[in-house]
Amino acid sequence: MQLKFQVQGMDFSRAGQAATKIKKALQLAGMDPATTRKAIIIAYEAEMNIVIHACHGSLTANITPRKVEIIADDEGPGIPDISLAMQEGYSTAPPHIREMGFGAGMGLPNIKKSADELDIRSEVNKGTRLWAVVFNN
Amino acid sequence: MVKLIDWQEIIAELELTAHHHKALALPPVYGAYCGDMMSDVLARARRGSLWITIQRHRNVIAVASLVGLSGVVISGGRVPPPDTVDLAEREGVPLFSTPLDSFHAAGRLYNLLIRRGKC
Repeated sequence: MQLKFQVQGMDFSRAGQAATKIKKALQLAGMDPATTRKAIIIAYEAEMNIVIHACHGSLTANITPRKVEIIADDEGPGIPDISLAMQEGYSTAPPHIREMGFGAGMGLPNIKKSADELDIRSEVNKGTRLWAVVFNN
Repeated sequence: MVKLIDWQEIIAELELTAHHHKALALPPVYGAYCGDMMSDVLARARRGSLWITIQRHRNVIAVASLVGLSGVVISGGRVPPPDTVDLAEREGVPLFSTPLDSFHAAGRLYNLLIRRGKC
């Protein structure tokens, strides 16, 4: 099963909707609760990264009985230094975003902790592609 | 045997005002989590916990729903805006506010939970 959602930068009114729909699909598919939790952490953080940092993008979930694959593709500023962005606490989010409880520099570290496999490719001033897999135990 | 906490007891002790629909069935509360950063709550809060936070925008409901929390308590006398209340109703997430700050709300809830052997 494939679910694909368009995500608009700075659209906080719809932020989290894609991850919520992915969660419902995973529950309906009978995925293990631990797999579901990891997958929704990845989906939500990836969705919020597009909302906070990118112009627009898409969030895709490929669900099979064996694994959940999450792909976040965006057009935006890109990540100049991915290893720096993976460090907990590092954030480029502006103050008004942080006041809402986002941009704590936990997004990518949360994704890394939850993913069994992870690949992030980014080009400055073009965009970022995040690919993550959680295996269903 | 662990006894469930009566919601009426939680509502009285934490001085809660409900903002969700009266007909909403309140799920059992097994614990609590205090935090204002979405990523922190998403990663660390446990399913069935009551979330105490100063945040009141609608993304709080998205996070609460994703984690499977028992409800949200907005602290410090802050009141949720209408779009947060609407989303809470749609997602079936119990939504409350309290005049207590997060520390005192959490302290009172901790005492209730510990009396029931839940902490």
